[in-house]
Amino acid sequence: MTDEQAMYAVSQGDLDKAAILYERYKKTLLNFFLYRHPDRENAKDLTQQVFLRVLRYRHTYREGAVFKTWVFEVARNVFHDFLKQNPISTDLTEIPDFGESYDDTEQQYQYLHRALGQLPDVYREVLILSRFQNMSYEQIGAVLDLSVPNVKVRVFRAIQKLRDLYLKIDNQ
Amino acid sequence: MKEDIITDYLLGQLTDAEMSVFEQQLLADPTLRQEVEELRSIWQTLQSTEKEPDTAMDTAFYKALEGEKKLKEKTPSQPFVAIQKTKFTNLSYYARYAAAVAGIGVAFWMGRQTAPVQVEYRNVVAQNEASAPVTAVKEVTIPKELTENIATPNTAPANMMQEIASLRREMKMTQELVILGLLKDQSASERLKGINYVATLEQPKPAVIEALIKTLRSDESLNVRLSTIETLERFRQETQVRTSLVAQLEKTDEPLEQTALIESLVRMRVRESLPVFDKLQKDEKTDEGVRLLARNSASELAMLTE
Repeated sequence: MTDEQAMYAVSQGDLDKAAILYERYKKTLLNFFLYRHPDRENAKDLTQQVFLRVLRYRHTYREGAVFKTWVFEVARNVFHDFLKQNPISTDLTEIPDFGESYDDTEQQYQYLHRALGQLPDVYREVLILSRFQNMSYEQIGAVLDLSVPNVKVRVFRAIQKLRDLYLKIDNQ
Repeated sequence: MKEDIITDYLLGQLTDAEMSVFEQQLLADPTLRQEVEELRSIWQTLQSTEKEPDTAMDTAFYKALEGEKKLKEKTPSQPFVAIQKTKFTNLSYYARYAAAVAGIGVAFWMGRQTAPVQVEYRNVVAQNEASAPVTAVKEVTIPKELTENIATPNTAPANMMQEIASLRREMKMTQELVILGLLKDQSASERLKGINYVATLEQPKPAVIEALIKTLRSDESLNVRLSTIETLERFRQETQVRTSLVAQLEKTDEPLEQTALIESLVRMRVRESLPVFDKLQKDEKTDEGVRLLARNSASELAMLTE
């Protein structure tokens, strides 16, 4: 069953099909929020809110609409509402507190967050679109108003810039 | 340039034939090979540091799903879409219009008043100059002797830190006095300015919170009250804030204010507001859009706080 078929069934009242979508998208959405704001409890809460909205506003889903695009639109709105209520805690350069016992992976995660926080918005956005939303070049081009060759170049430069920032932080 | 091909390679978009050609190029060009290897490594790190959802998240989702199913069984023929597209859309229309008007005011005062206060902190701490324009913000007056003490270059670091801390306290106290004054001002725009000042404080004194609550209860301007709700939500951990928002929802009959309060109370997860939601959804005098929102929000809040 495709995402679109599952969501259409949900919109028609077959709410159990929402579980399929939840299982497919929970990890992607959790990380989508984590890379915008490093607090894990918060990211879990925001992910939960996305699915609550999917259920609550299921009637607004139009048959044939690409579910991935629709659900990430919901996620962006959820995050936008979060920012309105928490303007102070939006600093992506904040280092998440992992306590005393973090391992190498956690350290990488911290460094990566700091690097992402320092990445210019145009690059961060294209990384999030390609990595977390798994969009095609054409879809990213439509969102950012870029040609496909330019999307590829921007993705390349974003990864390159992220690498430079990461290595700089790692060497400090 | 090979930028687009490298991107295709990293994102796994190359065909077998293209991959073969690209790998030949990598073998022939050590500089390119190193560059691509580093980029591949960071791209993989980005993927490998992704977090897994935990069981608490799953439990919460399935509980919410069950709740939604129960709600659907209770109201199988509820014309949700029809109501939402008529009354509630109208309400949203007004809300958007009012929000835009309020937003212009908020943006104006945030830009004009809030930023300079933060800049003043940096000036004092970083420059340590006697001439630092600490009093450039018209409402904030810093005692002259404090700025002079900080300016002394030979002051011992410990003393310096104490004095900076003292200056910070003084600034905060002054800010709070300014806020209390602004909230009592006759002009609604001045009161909005005061509310926006509060939004910049992390831990305002109880007197400031109390003044905000008083504004919520008695201010005649709807825009001021709407801004107050938004700001009060930031201090959700205070019991009196939660209580006062519930009390205001019970009292007001303004649809926009009711909408803002309901949405805030759900976000704040104030379970105590459920009886008021219930009362609103049953009250025929209440705006139909608000009644629908109260009904849906009651089920959402019940699920979230179970």
